[in-house]
Amino acid sequence: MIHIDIQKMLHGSSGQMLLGVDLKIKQGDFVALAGRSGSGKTTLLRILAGLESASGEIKVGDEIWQDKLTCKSVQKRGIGFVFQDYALFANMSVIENLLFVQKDKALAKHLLELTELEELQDRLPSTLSGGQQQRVSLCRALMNRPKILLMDEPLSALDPFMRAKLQQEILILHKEFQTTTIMVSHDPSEMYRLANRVVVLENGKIIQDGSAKDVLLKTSGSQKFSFEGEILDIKKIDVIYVAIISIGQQIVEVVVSENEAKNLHVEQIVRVGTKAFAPTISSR
Amino acid sequence: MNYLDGVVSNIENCDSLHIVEFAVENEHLYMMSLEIPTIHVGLHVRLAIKPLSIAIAKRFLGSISFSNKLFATVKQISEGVLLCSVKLDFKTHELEAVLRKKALENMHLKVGDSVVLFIKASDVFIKEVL
Repeated sequence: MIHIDIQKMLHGSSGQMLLGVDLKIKQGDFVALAGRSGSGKTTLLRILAGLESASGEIKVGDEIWQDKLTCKSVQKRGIGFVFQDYALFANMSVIENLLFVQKDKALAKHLLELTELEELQDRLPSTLSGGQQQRVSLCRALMNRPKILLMDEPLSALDPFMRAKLQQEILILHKEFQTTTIMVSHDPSEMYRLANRVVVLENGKIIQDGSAKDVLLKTSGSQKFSFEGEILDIKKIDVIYVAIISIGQQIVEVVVSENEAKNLHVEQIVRVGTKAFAPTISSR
Repeated sequence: MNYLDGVVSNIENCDSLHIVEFAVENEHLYMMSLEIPTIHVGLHVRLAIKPLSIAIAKRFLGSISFSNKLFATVKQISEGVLLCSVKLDFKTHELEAVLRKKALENMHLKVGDSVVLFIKASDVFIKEVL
């Protein structure tokens, strides 16, 4: 069990904010940390890693990482950290990057096998693609068999194809090493695939905590299919009305009746929903 | 959109699939739905049905697979080019059905007609819990 109970005043863009988090995480859990920019996610990771100070306590199993009297250094915490920008040593080959953390050739070889990087082990990071570099960074983070693996938007710089591939590899590594993992993410599909628990922060506080499905499934009444969008136009056609709504990167049309159209206006932010029975799925 | 307030009177389920029965004005309405964590018998809800999901039958005889059958009276008909909007009175509640104008003509539907409304259980949804 990991018990984090920390507080810290943060100076955000909208003034002062108290980051106050009391969180218990089970050994082997994969927790996704979600929330808007500036909600305190990255700061929480950095506090856990010992890169930033805060008041309160952090206990990992029987070990106290932080309390009133002690504060373990970054090196002694047994943390693996994966950043968005890979942060590899540019002058070292792939295998050297791994062995720098721990002189364990067998483990390094095993990790490179799992992530299909064996053939690239003597290459320098600059000669690798973004996806390959992030895989190296992931392997490196696991070299000291960390008690907690922290990942800060690890896949956000990658294209969707590479992202899906790395999600698969993260799953394989998590299954093999059972490392308790906390990952900051903005991507619902990523959280759903990887995490068994999603914690949402807002203004430094936990506002939602539950399974990925419970937290991420946006429902409205009995409707299971629901998106937020903005009304761009409402047109009367024959005796019905059609609302043109932008949702994400797409424009959709929704038929509404007169009494609904009266209460809607252009630029309004709305929730578009239907029951799980109506939508159809077709391949691209 | 059409709204009717009702009370959950029965819930049948098979894994996450539910058939929920509501008592609405002494009639029964049925809704097919995937799991709704907070639902229970006795819950007051506002049901919603889209006007395009309501079928109208006149002098109906025989059986039909639609779960929901409501008796209503035609109150008002607004004709468009291809479609028409029919306002109906169901126990003092106004409901709207949108249908093809062709259907209206074929049925010789007019104000004052007694009709039966058919709605599929999968087309009924809970708008909100009251």
